[in-house]
Amino acid sequence: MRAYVIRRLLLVIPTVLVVSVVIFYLVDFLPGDIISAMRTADFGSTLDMSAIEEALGLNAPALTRYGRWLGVAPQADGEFSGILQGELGLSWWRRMPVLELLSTKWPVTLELGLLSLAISQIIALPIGIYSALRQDTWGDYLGRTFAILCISVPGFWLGTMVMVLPAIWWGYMPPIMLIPFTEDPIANLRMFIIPATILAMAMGGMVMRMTRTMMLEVLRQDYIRTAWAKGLKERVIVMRHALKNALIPVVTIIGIQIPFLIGGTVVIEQIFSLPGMGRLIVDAINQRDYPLISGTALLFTVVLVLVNLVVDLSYAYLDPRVHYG
Amino acid sequence: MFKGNQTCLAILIFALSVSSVFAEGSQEQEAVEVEEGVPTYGGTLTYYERDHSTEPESPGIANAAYFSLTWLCHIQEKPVLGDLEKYGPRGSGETNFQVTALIPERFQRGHLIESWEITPDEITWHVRPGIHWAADNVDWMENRELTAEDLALDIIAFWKSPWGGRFEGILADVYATDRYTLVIEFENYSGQLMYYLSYEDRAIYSPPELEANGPDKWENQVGTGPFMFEEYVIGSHMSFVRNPNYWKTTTIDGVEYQLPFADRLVAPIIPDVSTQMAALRTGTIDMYGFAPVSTFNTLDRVPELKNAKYSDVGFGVMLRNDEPPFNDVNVRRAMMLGTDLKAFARFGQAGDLPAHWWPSHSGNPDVYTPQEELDEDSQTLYEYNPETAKQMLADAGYPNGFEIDYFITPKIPPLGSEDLAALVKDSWAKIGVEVNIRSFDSTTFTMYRQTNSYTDAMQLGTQVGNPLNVIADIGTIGGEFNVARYRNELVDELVTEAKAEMDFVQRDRLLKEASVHIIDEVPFVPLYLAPQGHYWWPWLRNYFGELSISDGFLTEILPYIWIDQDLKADMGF
Repeated sequence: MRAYVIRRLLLVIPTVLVVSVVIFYLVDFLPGDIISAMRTADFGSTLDMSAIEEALGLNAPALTRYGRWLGVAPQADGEFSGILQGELGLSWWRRMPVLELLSTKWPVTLELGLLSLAISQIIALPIGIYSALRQDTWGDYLGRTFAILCISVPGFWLGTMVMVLPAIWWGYMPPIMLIPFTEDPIANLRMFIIPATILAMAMGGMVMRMTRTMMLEVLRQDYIRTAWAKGLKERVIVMRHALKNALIPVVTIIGIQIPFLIGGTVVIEQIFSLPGMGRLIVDAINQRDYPLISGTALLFTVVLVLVNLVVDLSYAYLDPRVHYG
Repeated sequence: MFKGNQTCLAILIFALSVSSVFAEGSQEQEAVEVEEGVPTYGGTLTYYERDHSTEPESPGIANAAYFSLTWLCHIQEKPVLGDLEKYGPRGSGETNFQVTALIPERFQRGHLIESWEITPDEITWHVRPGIHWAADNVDWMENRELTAEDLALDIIAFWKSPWGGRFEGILADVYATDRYTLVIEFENYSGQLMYYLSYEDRAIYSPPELEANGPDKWENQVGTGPFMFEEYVIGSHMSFVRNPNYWKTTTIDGVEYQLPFADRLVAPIIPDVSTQMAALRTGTIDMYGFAPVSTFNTLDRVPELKNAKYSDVGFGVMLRNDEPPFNDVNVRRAMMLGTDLKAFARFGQAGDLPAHWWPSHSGNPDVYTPQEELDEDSQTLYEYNPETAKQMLADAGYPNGFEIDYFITPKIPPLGSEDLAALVKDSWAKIGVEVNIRSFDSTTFTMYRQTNSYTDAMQLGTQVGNPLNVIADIGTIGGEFNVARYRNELVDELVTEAKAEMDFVQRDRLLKEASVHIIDEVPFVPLYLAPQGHYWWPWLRNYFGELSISDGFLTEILPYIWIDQDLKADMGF
């Protein structure tokens, strides 16, 4: 197992390298550049484009700029400062180290993502299991309808409704100015719980349906019938014998949904004024802030690779027949 | 099953809408009468204005773009502002300062400078003595007095930065002759110079010490302003605290008060319009500046909210004048005749706003020529006549019409740009012009605009406040925003003369004449003038709906506002 984990972790390096090339050059190919973006922002000025190009190193060939970003080519001042040196450069617009910027944004998206992941599972697993155990009863119909509702109601619409209607009816809205968890956990949760729940709904709907389907399949297996015949209690049969086996595809689905979860944060962060990674990358793309786009995308890549690794490893826990040699 | 869910959703939406109507109806009965009272100090003023939808960029001069300035203006000040107390609603009422990018000369007042003189060779500023930098938030500077040298160094830093191109060929030298006197020498006088240096967005002044101690850091920002930097929670909000030694006072009912009244100012970053509205309704913010027209229906249903409406931005179609088919002036005129301006005004909820608003605005009567005073041909351009338009196109060699590309970006107008483009497409299809809508993100769109690589037509917005800037930028060869590539040597001559003219009356006469020529040649089809609004709760006192006393931010008005805490509590907030 340890060797497998090390191998997988080592594989992260070429993966990230390939992704970094793709990201860097794709960004470079985007029509319009930071100077166009600056002109959009400062709609009256006459800009000295060459001065800005020189200051930002844009006058160097793309390969040199990529080498600088990686840290294998020297910057204009002769110093090496890139990924290899543990730096992601300076945001062109904010004039702030990208790493520092990410360190303020990442906790917000992480908290939102983890909370929505937790909420989705808390909602989805019990309902999915219940639906399977009580197949074709009113409870099952209700659970399935709820699952479809969760999947089909768009998060941006629900988010807007949840933000606007309570404001009209009760004069209430969740806090919109960030309160760090370490400062005031309750106030922080008041800020995050609603957007996390909305984000959790689509994911939860999928997991509900998958859990129900897999549980139904497992519950029809011979070993479950044997367990019933032995007179085991329903709770023991479900929790000890059925659920673990049913969860393998569910875990796969959860793993697949993580990128969508991250994608979903873009809109939810916008509606709920959460200063997270989603809003950051959208702003960075609009502003053609290449170091920030590349740094953010790189971080997402690493996270997704690690999430996939965790998902793969969880198979071994859920199914003893799975071995990583 | 799916259809059933859709029905459920429809019922849910209907139920929510009905409930919201009833909820709003019940609020109408709870309207509170507000009476003026004695000013009080204290409290936190939380506000939002249009540029707070995105995060501020670096505050450093060398990198600073427009979006940092709305935040910096609380800390750093301008040499000249509109005279709020003398001419605004609390004074003679001659103006309510509801045009952006322009303070007519007669309403200007020295702020950081006491007075100024303009000659054909130089401007002399007399800096107000006794103004001190408030530098309590940093350890590398004392709270020393503001000097003419400080202003000179700041102007030079901006002039020599990549953003200083606007001063090329205009500025010759900037220097202080003594502690309180600053001289700005010209290569050529330009009427735009006082605007650029004294009250335009960028005309805020920071001390030279900042340059040496990290101008890119928000926590390093110091100024002479009514507020001092407190905290920037990245992407969430920025807050400021009262400068206890602020130099400015105001007189209310014969009593002099030191400004500002609020102890603290908080400006949250709110990207979503629905969230902005919710924030106002719940009292999370006290004031919502520059609310787009799409919010009016909702916000106007809250009777307690005060508001002021105005219009300083319009939207239309820039036609590419240097290439067929729009290099023919008769084709351009036909396009305007084939545009149902009333339909566009309805789309933009422009109400009674005039159809004729470009290139000069009725808010500037010295430059504006009312529609009925235009010559007959120009007047007819504003009357929808698709049959005549079709005939004019046929006469110009296009009996079967033609096909054009139409460039748009989602931010212009801020909401509904695709809908507006669809309306243009539909309107022009009736005169045989097929419109291919091409939508781009704002940066790509700007690239097409700046590099002159777009084809045929662009959907654009334009501010109409400052006639010299608008006409010079849009109507002259080489103008910064002459996206149409419009070329009329007579207009160029008039604008050049206007820029060099030091007599304001004569300058406005020249601009008025240039406007009339531009209108007649239709480089741009002005679709509608867009209303905007400020909304605020009645517990904000001493505010009368002024738009801006500088270039286009609320900032300089906020120190005058005091918070009626009792009223706020009585209203349940």
